[in-house]
Amino acid sequence: MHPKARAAKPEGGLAARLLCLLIMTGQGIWINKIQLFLTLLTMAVGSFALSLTFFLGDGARIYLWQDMEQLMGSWVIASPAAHYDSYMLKTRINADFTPGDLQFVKEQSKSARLVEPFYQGSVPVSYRDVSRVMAIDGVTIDLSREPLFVPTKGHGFSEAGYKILVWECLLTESAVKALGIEIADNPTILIDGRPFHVLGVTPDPPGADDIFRPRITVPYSCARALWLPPDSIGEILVAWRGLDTMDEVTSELRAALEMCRGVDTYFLSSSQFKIQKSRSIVANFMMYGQVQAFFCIAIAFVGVMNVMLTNTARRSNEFAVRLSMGARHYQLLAMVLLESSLLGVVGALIGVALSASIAPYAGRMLQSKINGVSALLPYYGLKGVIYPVLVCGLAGLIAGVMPALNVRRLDVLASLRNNN
Amino acid sequence: MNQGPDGGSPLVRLRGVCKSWHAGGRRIEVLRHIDLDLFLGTSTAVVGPSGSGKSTLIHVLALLTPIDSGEYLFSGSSVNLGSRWWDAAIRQKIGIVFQDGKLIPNLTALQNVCVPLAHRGVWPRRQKEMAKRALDQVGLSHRVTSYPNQLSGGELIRCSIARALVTDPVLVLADEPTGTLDSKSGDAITDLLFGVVQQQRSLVVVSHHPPLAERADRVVRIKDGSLDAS
Repeated sequence: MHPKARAAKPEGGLAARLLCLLIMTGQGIWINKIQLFLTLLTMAVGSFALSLTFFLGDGARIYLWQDMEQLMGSWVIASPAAHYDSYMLKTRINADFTPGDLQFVKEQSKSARLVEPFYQGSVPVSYRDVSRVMAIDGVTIDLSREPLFVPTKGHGFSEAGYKILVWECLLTESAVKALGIEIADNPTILIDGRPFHVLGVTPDPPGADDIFRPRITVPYSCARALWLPPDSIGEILVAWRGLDTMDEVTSELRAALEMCRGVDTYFLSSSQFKIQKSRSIVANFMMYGQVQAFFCIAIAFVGVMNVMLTNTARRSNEFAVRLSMGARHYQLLAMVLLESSLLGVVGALIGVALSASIAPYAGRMLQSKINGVSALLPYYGLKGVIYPVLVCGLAGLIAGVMPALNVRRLDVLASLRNNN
Repeated sequence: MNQGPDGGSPLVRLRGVCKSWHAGGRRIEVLRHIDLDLFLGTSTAVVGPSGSGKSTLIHVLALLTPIDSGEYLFSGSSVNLGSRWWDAAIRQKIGIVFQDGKLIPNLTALQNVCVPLAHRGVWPRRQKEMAKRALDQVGLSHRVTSYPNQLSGGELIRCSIARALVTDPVLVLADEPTGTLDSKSGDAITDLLFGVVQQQRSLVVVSHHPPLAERADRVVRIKDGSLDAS
């Protein structure tokens, strides 16, 4: 064999081959700009729907739960059934929770962060010529450190307020507005006819309606002295350490109450129900969004395949020229597959960028559909980028298989005669 | 065995090569028992009437179509037409100039000349250097950024010649390169084609253009698919 006639080895190695492949693919994609734009648009729509689902879904998961925790507290409250049932109150010997019940629950609740007595009620409140009925909470010193009871203006209760009867109170922002109070004036309001000093302002419970936003917080000792029968502790509040311990804490509390009081003598209320509801809303939203996204991507898949089939048929002359210039079939195959995958990936990235910019507005629209949510902000996690890019890239790759096989079966001479 | 001008063995040897097409249920024999040797450093003109099989012979030599029977030896090795990889490896040592240039319409002249280099995995920067040199060689250094639809017929062929030569092939095949040109442009292309075929390269040119055939070292006449060497 002539030394010069030996088959040439690639000059630049694998890296150069890949770079050349990328450049040639880019040249192929760029031929028909309108077609390119439309194909990218169809893929972008699918990717947009998918990434929006993740951005808002993850945002909803995180922020809804935060809201629910703030609204209801990260706790479960056990109330004696007598609070809700006057017949039971009259007929049962021990209708209220007792200090013994509280002690028993404390001993049984191993997973709880906090087990405290608590008072919830509604009382007439007046300040100057304004009078109305408001919700009231009686909190212990430990409970007063929970975010819902920490004042944003003024200051909290004095240590003495929890030990002896000191008539002090905190008002939510809505309560301050409703009564027309100026905190700086160190005002005194009448609660159930007794004067209380207003010390500070606590935040409104997020998402609460107009009835529950104006609230008053008083030391538990005051509430017990004023509104609870002797030897009664009102309600028992058990706080969990984190969302993952919520179910465990609730089960422990239920078991403890059943042991000390029997069945059907108490009610449990917690953020658990609301969180479960929000979980189901988010899950439904994500499922709906993903189904929609997959439909869009399926349409985009057909679009990419159609474009690639047309494109490869139109460029058969070019492929034949390339083959006659020494191109190998696998190079043309790779060009077509890379081209269709790139259409998927670039379309997906456009969709992700669009959804990232629209997500805050879409969040605001959805927020109005979900009750009790203060904000539905998107959460820009990697999942919202990686999944759409992977799904659209894969859809593009699969859409390119048939056109690539057509190129592989190309009749070189027939294509060279075709001058298109 | 035939020997070349330098006493060497042929670069390409065809022995008893037959090729036929099927059209409308009929089998048309285009090449019949072709025996042909091509040597390095020589030029061969293939002439003959239309439909005599000139272009098919070029396509067979360029490995663009398989032969029905016979033997094709490239540089002493049998060309295995069943292996696409081997075909492509041999094809990378062959440069082809098409009648109408067959440039890729969406690429500039420079990018067109880069195509064979890109398929060989040459680094893009080196591709550009080599392509510019090749375009300079054919007198198109001022048209590097022009697209095919901006080039004249002569310039298209020049660009096609640059593309064929940029990889420094051992065999250059030209299929009626002056077929669509006026005589003045045809002469210029002829000068260019024979000027660039130097030692260690073999040129096969199919042409109706008499001055082009006259310039060749050897003229092969083809009629009804059979060769008549002179």
